[in-house]
Amino acid sequence: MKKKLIALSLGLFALIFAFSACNHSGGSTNVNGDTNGDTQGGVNTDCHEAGSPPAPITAKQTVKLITYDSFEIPDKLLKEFEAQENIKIEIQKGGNSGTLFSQLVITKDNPLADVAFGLNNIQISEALAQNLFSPYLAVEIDSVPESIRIVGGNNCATPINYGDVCINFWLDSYGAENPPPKNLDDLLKPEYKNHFVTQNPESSTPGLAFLLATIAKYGDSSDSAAGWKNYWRQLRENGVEITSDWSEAYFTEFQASGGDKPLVTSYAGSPVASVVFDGVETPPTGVIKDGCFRQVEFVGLIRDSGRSQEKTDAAKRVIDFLLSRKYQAEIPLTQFINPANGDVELPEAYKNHAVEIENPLSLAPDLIAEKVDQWTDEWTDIVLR
Amino acid sequence: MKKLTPIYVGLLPLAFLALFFGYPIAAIIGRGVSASGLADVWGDTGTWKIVWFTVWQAALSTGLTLALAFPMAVLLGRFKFRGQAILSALLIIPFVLPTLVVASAVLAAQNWLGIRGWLDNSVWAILLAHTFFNFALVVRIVGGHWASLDNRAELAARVLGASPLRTFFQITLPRLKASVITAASLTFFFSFTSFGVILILGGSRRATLDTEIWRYAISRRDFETAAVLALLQLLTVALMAFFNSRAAKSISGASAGADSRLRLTHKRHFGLAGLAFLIASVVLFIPLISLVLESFAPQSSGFGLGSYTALFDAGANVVNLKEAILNSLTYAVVATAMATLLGGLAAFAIFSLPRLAFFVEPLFLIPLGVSSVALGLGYLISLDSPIDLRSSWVIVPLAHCLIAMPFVLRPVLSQLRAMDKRLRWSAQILGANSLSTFLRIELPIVSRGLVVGAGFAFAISMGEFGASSFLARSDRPTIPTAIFRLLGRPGVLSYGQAMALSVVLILVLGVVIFLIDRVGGVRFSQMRFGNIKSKRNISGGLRSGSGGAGGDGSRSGGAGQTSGQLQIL
Repeated sequence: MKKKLIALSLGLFALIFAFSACNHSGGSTNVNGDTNGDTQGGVNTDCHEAGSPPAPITAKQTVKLITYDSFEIPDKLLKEFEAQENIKIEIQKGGNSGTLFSQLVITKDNPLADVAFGLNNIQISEALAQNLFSPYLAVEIDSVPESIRIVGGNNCATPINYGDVCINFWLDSYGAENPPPKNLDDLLKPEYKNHFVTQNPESSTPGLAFLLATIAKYGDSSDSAAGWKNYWRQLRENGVEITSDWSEAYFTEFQASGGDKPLVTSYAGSPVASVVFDGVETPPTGVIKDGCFRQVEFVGLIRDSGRSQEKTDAAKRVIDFLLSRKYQAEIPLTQFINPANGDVELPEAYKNHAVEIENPLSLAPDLIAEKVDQWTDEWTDIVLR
Repeated sequence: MKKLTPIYVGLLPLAFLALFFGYPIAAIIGRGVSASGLADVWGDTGTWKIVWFTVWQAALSTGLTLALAFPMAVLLGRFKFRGQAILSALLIIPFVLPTLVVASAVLAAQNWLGIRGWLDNSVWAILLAHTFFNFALVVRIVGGHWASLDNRAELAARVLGASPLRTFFQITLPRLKASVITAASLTFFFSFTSFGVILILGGSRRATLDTEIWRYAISRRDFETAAVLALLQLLTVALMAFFNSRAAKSISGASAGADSRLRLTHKRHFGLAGLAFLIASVVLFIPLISLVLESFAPQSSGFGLGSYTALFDAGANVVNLKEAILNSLTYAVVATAMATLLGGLAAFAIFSLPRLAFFVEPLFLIPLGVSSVALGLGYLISLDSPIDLRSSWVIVPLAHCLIAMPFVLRPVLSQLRAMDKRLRWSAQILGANSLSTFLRIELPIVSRGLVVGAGFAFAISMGEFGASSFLARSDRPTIPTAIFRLLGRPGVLSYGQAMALSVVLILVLGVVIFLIDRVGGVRFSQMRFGNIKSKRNISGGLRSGSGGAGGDGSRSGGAGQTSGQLQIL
């Protein structure tokens, strides 16, 4: 009797295990194998459509907004929108933007949420190829400058903000006699030996943006003695330090935080943050304007055939809200990046201390999607091994 | 039918494990694994390099932790002194601190001391960090076991002319073998699967199975390779879990005796105490103290309370301190309640069905060692129906419960195994049915194990961030997520606030664990995975027939109560 029961419970466990394994193995083609064949046709056609404008919301709707951990929205603004539109926004957080992206991809057959905010221009091309989003043209889309919109009129992702990943420097370490580097070339000079800390592009978004900046500037060549590979080899010889993420670089290695590196990969808006958070008159850090990489973050209406029309309409209103002047005006001083909506008046504190980057480096999203894994592999070989 | 009860009792935790671990992990592995993928990963020499590094760094970490923690284990296990309880509570804190916080504090300390750079990117940084996080495991398991050992064999050896060293190696060490092996294999387990430590301190140059699973699944969305690696990890971890369970089981075979712990009197004793403190200071207290200092004087700015007042300042919109603390406490209470109930039930079922134990006990250990990236993604594709749990707040305490269960199961199980079976027989002979035997004999005996387990569960839940960061959570800030949010933006003040909040986390944890210990009446000698103390007291009580007549007056609480109840019976 006892033996039977033991066998029974063992069997039960094995059965559940086996069942779930079988159950899901069928779905694997969706994630891996078939994606290209499956989506090539679909995306390109319907992402060019405008997507129907939302009908007025009659019954109260709850819209799930999935985003990264550091997303912030003033409580008051959120409540105001919810009351006005009869829509409740349920915010879900899925780790950093990398984790968020993985979660969106793996759940695309049964999505977690209605709206996704936080994928950037490095990721967006793959996201569109994966057919994650449905088209929708936000009300204020015409206020978004052409330069940050997806080339070719793709309506499946709407830009919400943009910021530039730039090298920041600690003011006290440099002066008239020993000026800070002016551009990427300067980082290779002996006077900046052991000055620079950046992040691993595999684990950090600014780190990846900086790698892409060097690729955009020096070019991609299969010859390892040329182009960006050559640049990084020299950068390594000049003592570049690599951390796994932004916090570690900024808070432990950078001189602003008591470390010993006067140069760090961060954002053009980082000096503004020190002013706002620390209450100092002038920021203790500066931005090197050359060699910046522009990062655009997007919102998308998650593709979900099972969602009701009412909810889809509500989700579209949420996208409108994120691009509305009201929300956009909050972006500069909470996230220290630029609002995508060009009609927004920038706050004084931001205008005074933010550095405007005129000619940021960029790469075609399609090229990024195609080559990024190869580049980070090659980068790892050159810089870390 | 009575005999079948354990099966039903055991099915509940087993079902929990199957539903919230087996099913999601099988789903994610099943989704990605294919024959060609297996062959690719198997045939790649890179894979085996990574496996090899994962293994040897874990082995070295284990050796180092055992060596460095041993003096403290001796001190707390062999001696009794003032402040012992506080010391042992302090030791548990590193076990639950978020890696990033500790790393920041350690690096800051290095800057202050001007020794920056000598640990950078070396494997030593990883080994020391693993020592820091696992120190308490060794101290509690080995020291706790030692405290419960009868020292008459040692005394006899000494009388017969053996030197103290010889006595230690020939008498004590063989008797401690089981707990040393348990502690070692748990440390190995945690070092094998530590994620944040490798990512941050590995200087981006080192990869383990866990970081590779993360790299493929998160950074590249190559779920196929990630699934194969997760399968490889699951199998390795399962093997280790079986090995560990077998080792832990033999702990309960140890004999119990009178409290033979010594007072610190001899010069040698003070030497030992000095050594233990010196090591603990370097390995544990410097990081902790630098964390506290950083919170008062972030990044060498002036000393002051600025970071703390900013935390309470409602205008700083990132952290709602009250909400974060409340959420953390709520999650921790839910996770602790579930883990205590399920872990306790599992222990009873396994105890009642020894033949099942071989297979079932290690199952509960496996979730500790499996990549949280894989589990998090597994949740997303498996827990969507019939109820969509994926983005409910409940998912966080559920995940915590999964990690915490073995910490309840272990101490309860070893208490049960050490229990004098005659107690149950006597009760049954005297006419008690199985329910009242359970309520009046077994439950009181394991109550301390439950309390110890609950303490661990609570601490794990409060401090856990790594695993939950891969879940899609409804937005409710907890203390660890708030710390990470603060560390994610520039400015000295944000950094200082993150450090201050870490100190708050330590304080909240410290207070709660102190309270749990207080309520449970737990002393150091009982705070471990195998409690045998109660056995002697209760059988003593049984024999003499008088309540609480155990030989050692220092513990009148739990044990005395048990014998008292026996009389009522």
